[in-house]
Amino acid sequence: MSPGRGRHVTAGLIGCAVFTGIALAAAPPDPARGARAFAKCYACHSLDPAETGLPGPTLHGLFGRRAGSLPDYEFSEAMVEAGRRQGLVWTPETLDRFLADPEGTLPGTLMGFVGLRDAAERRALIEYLQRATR
Amino acid sequence: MRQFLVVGLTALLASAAPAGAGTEIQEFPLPAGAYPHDLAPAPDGSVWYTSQPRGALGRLDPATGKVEQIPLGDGSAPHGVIVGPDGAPWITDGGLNAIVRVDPRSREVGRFSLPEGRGYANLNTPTFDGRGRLWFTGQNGIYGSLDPRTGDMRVFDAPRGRGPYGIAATPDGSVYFASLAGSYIARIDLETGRATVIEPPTPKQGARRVWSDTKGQVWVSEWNSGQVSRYDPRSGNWKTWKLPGARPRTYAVYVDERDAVWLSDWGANAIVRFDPATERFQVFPASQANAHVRQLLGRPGEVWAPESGTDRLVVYRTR
Repeated sequence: MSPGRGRHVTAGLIGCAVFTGIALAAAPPDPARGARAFAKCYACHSLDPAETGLPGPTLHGLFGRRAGSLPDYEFSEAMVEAGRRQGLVWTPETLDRFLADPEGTLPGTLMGFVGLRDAAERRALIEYLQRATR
Repeated sequence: MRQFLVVGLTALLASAAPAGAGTEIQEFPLPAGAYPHDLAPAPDGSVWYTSQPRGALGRLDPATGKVEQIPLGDGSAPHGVIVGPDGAPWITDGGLNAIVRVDPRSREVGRFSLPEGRGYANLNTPTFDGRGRLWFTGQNGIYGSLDPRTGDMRVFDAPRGRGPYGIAATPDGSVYFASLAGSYIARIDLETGRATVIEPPTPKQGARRVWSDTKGQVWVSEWNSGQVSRYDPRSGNWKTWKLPGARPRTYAVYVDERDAVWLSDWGANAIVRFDPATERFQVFPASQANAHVRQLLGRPGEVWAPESGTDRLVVYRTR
């Protein structure tokens, strides 16, 4: 095993651990900032369940859904494994961890996004998605 | 800086290895967290790369392994980079919503912002046409042009909205872009700016990047289908090939000076060379997991790959 591969496995294990049981820090919602943050997701993700064929899965009904479980979208093996074997379900907390460092928390994901390092921006985005994905 | 130099020299000594068929691979480590997205070999032998999380333009000197990173400003998140006719790196900066130029001597950073009313474009990739104008894509549904001499910028709505990704010019200066979400390529009329959609034969194939061979044929990396396809503008004909492996995911495409086609495949975690004459693939697996090569570009005898997942630049020397 190369040093690099070891680093990825370690990051994955840490990712599994941090996907559970961590609450988001309290901060006032900022709807406008959340909508602006979603502009970074818009190129690949739709909020419309009927809109398929995009690079990423629809985000409609995201919260409470098991990761990698939409039947009409081909997820990476890493995402399917995270949902099926590790029990990853999308909640505000798990999404926050994933968005902070997608490839670090879920090595092998095909989501080609560097992530949102700013915790306040992530919070605003998640607040926005909680309303927009219902 | 000294530390990077030492690390780079170590890499030069340790990582050069023959890879068969006359190709030698050499790996250059970058500072941790550099996450190189795109790169552009420069006329002086160096290689520019974009560092999205650092908001910086990096520069590697392959002769020494020395690396420097130039901050592009608060909020910067650069995606694409290309060397212009003026010898300078030009950058599509998604974070700044602007085209950025870095002076290769003074390192001065210049900025050409998109018009206010256009909103967040998610700027993606630049190229230059045969008249010295820069053309760019924005993944949120736009493409546009910038005349560096006047600063005049034009922005157009893309067919089918979101999706414009890779963009490239052919040897005669024509410009094509790919729409990842729209699953098409388009040719831009350089006078009117109008984009004409050209449909690849495979539906929903996810055309991600484009590059031209020396004859002006346009090669397309298809993310969803795991294929590479070729469009001949003279005949209008397409030809398509599936990459090897169980589930290829074709991200980047570049055609070298001998018309060999280079691709990055996330499914196999590999760089793949395709010979159009024999229609055979040669696979170069990455030496570390999840290399995530998002773009390829070269100069005669060299093909360069930024490994965003391993913080390395890798060169495939072909002669």
